[in-house]
Amino acid sequence: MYLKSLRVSEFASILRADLEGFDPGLNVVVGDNEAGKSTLLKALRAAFFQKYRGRGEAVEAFLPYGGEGRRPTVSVAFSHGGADYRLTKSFLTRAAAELEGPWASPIAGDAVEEKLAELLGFTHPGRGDSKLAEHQGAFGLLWVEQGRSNTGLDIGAGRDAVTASLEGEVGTILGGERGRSLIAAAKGLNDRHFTATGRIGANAPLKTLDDELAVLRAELVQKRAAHAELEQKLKKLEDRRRSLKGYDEARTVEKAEEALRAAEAGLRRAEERDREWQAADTALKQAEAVRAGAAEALKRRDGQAKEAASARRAFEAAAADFAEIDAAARAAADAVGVAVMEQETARIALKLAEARHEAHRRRSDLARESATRDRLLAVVEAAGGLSEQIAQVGARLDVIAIDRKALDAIDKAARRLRDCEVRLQVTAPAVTFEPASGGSVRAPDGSAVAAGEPRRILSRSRFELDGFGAVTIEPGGGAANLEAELREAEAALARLLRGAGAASEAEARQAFAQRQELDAEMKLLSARRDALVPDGLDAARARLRAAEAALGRLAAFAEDDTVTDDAENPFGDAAPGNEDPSAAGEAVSERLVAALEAARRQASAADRALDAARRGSEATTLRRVAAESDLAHLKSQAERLSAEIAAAEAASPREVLVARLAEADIDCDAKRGRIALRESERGAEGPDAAEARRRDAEKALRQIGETVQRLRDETLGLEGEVRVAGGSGVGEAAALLEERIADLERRRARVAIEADASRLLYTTLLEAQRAAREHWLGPIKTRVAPFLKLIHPESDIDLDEETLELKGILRAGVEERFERLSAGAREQVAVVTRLALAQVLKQGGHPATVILDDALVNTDEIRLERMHRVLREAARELQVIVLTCRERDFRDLGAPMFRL
Amino acid sequence: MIRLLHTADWQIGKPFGGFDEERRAELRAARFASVSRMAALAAARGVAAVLVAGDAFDDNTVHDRDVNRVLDAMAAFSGPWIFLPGNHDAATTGSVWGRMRGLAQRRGLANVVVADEPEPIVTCEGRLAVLPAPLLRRHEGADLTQWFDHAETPSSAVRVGLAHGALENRLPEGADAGNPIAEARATTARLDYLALGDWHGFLGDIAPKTVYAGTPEPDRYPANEPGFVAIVEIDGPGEAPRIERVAVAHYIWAARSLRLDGEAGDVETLLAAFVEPGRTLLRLTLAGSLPLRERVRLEEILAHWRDRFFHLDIRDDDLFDEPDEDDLDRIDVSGFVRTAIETLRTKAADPTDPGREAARLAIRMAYVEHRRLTAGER
Repeated sequence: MYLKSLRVSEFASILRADLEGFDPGLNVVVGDNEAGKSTLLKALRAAFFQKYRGRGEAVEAFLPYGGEGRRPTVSVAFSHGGADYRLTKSFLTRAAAELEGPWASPIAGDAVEEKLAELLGFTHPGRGDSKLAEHQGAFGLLWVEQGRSNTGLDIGAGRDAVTASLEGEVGTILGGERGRSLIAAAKGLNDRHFTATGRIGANAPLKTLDDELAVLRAELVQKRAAHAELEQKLKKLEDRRRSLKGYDEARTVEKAEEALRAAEAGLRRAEERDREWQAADTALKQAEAVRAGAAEALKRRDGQAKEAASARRAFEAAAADFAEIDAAARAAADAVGVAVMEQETARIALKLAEARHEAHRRRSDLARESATRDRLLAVVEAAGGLSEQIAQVGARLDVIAIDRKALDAIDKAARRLRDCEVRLQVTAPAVTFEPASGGSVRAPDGSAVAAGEPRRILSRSRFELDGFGAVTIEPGGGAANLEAELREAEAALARLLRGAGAASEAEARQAFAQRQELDAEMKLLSARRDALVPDGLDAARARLRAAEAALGRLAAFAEDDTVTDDAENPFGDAAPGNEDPSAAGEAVSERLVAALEAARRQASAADRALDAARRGSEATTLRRVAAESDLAHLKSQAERLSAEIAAAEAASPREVLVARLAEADIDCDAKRGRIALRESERGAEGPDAAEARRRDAEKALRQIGETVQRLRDETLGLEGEVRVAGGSGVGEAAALLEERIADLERRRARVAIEADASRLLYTTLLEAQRAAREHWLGPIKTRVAPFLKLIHPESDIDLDEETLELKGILRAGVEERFERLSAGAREQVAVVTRLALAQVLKQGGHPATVILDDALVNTDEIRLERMHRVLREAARELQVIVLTCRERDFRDLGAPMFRL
Repeated sequence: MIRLLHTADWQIGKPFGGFDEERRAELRAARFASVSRMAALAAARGVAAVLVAGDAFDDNTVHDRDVNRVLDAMAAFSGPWIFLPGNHDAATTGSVWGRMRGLAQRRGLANVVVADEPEPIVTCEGRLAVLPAPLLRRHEGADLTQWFDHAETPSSAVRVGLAHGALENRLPEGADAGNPIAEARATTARLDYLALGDWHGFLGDIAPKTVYAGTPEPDRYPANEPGFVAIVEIDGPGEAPRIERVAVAHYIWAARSLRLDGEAGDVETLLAAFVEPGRTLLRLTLAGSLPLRERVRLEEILAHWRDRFFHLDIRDDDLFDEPDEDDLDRIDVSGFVRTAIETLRTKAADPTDPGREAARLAIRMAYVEHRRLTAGER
């Protein structure tokens, strides 16, 4: 196609423009700025692509300013496919369209629009005109508006036209329009089954089938389980019924009952036998007890006899012993009596000797003291009245022989005496005489003894009992000794009292008190006399006083001694008062001391003899007491035993006992025989065994009963369950599911193959397309290459295979991205690529007039020169219309010039 | 003369899982309807008893509801119905028969006889003695009819055996032989008639006095002749039976095979030959090969008839697409599409390629899509 002329009137800024006689090759339209070059291009687009009856903003814009009532009209003559056409369109005011062509009369109106679309290979937009650019096919590519030449190809909807055009060129390599449709369809098929990532889609038929299958399979598992459960129950039920039947047929329960009854009867028999055995056993035990009793009685009797005999023997032995011991005791007691008398005699002798010796000593003292006093008296007489007083007091004081020590001794002796008395009172046997009326008792001293009053016997005493004779009572060893001790204590006390010059203890105490008073007075007088006479006469006076005191004391004793001497003086031949105290007295004294010593020795010997005799007597007495006690005990025992055995014999004599034992022995033997018989009977089946047998039978019956009951229960339960489950159609449900699953699986297999097939188709198509594309950019590059070589030698363009957009150029092997090229380079590359694509389009039978509106404004002169060559080259095959405001740039082109 | 209706293999409760919901319901309902027809037939022909030779029920767990429906359907004939437990409804513990007895009792029906004991049943005022061989298990293994030989029956009674299983040496290969029946049983047991079940087709002269009635309502695509009952007339003991085959089926189950070589037109002819496609279930097995254009035509033909038949089961596993040059010319493709088609053809032709079936289908899809697109262009 090429444009032949263009007339525009009342169209936007152009009031009227007539461009006639375009060359089929290169044309240049010159117009200053504002002259309407771009409007010219707009008018051309409007003529071809804008429906004449169109309204709206875009169409309103066709009106000139203030052009109310104007009629924007475009008329274009063109040649296409060897035919000539004239297209005229008026917009808005009396809108009209007319197309003259190789036919009889021009077509007009809407038919024009359809014819145009058919001729030029574009589609009208559905409604409105907003997408006009997208619907003008290759013209968007080829008619380049001002200022857009360097922004890339902006190929848009032109791409399809280009590729469609290329198909002719590359022949069978490309699938063409239908190939793309087929891919789209295959994608649709594929997308039914798969997601973009190749997985099975959520709404894919396979997924739906799989889901359904899963549900059915799960259900089937459930049904099969239910069915299996039912089968199992049925089997169980059958088994239970068979078992029950077996029990019934074998009469198991009845048999067990019979066995129990038999066992119970056996038990009763066994119990009977057991009772008999027990009775025999009891009888034997009784007989044995009787026998044991008889044996025991006999044994006891023999024992008794033996015991009595031995007791008698013991008693007799003890009696003999006692007689011996008793004799010994008497002898010992006699010995004590002799010893006592001897001691008494020795003591009397000693006392006499002592008295004589004492009297003699006092007499000597008296004589000596008298002489001393006489001498001192002479000295003292020279002292005053005080001394006399002192002497008087001293005299009075000296009279009192008692002092503290003597008093203490008296105390002690008195205490000992009382002690002896008390002990004697306790030890001495008490005798109470109770004579018959009229009878009387006289004590040893001949006094009458009061009846009914106890009397202590301290020593061997003989009492005269009227009408009876005499009784001699001799207290035991202890009492006799105590009495001797008492006498000794009395003697000691009497001696001390005598020594103290007191008749009694109380008197001694009184004397002692008096002496204490005199002492005090004496001390006072002495003090007074000492004060009066403080010289050395004191000692003399003291001596005098002492001498006088001693003299006084001696004189007091001398009076007693006189009495004693008179009575018992063994030396009666000597007159003490007449003797020379110094010569005769010495000899007498020696004699007296020797006699005293002898008496003392005799007394001591007598004491020891008595003591020994007493000890001997005590020992024998003790032995005698023990023997007597033993004797008494043994006697009573012997008597008791002999009485017992006599009584027993009287009750049942020993012969009877022996006979009884023999009888019991015989009875036991008989009983033993009986029990052996019962024992053997019992051994056949004892009650324990019978009981065990009964228990077993009972247990067996119970067990069988329970088993049968359980079987019945289970059967009933199972029948109930089976009745419910049996009619549930579970088998049918399972079969249905199985069949449905089989059916679904068949369907699934089919769908799976469909899915595979759709994917395979899609991927295979894509793969083939990708392979084809490897080739289809070749022709474009081939066409671009010579042009490009003119302006940028050794470079190659890189086009996006999807969009056909320019990606960049390869210069000397280096890839340069399009948007980073200079504005000039960009417009040059874009223009040459467009020209190449236009050639492709033309070859594809598409209208391919290239219109460049100030497309090379950034190109330098040298390159512009080269571009001229490119344009000339391209114009050999294409119509190229250059709209420019710079005439001189294209002056040298040698192309027809049109001016606005 | 005594007249009997002999039937078997009702298979009540068969689920028909391979069908959609609507057809399934209809097929199930048809089985009850056939019982009604048999009852009506029995009443109309004045038979003395109906003998059901096993498998009245498809499964022992059949719903009580279905048993009730059967009892309802039997209402038209009030004479004795003698049911023999077969392998599907063996008289096991908890079988359907206990329930059926209970339900019949509840309704006060005295004419339902379950022959679940191997002992003679003398009925019809002593004119008929039925010797049943009930299955107590699904597969007995032994010949349960053996006892017929020594069974005592009244001399005045017609002696009829009732059994379920495979008559030895008489059935085609592959028949289920789990429950064998001696082929000469009718003779050895001095039977006047041996009523058999298990084989779903009608076999009227399989052995002397021995008949398989088959199922009254077909339930599968058969290789035999289902859909009948036998009306049997026996003049008296020792007399030969007169056997009449009476059709009672509603649905026609048909199986056909067709080999297609390059042309799909035979399918149209075959389908059009069916008189009542609306109650016909057809399994059509197709084999051979078709060019793509014929394959597309085949699909069109089948799509049409699928709606007219009660059920059309097409098995085309052995039918192959064989695109020829003509197809490819029709596809009228050039460029990468043709390359892709060639790739798929190579794949489809390679017997070792696991994806060959998918490739075959992919070619057909491309063809169909292409034709669709072309049609759109026109």
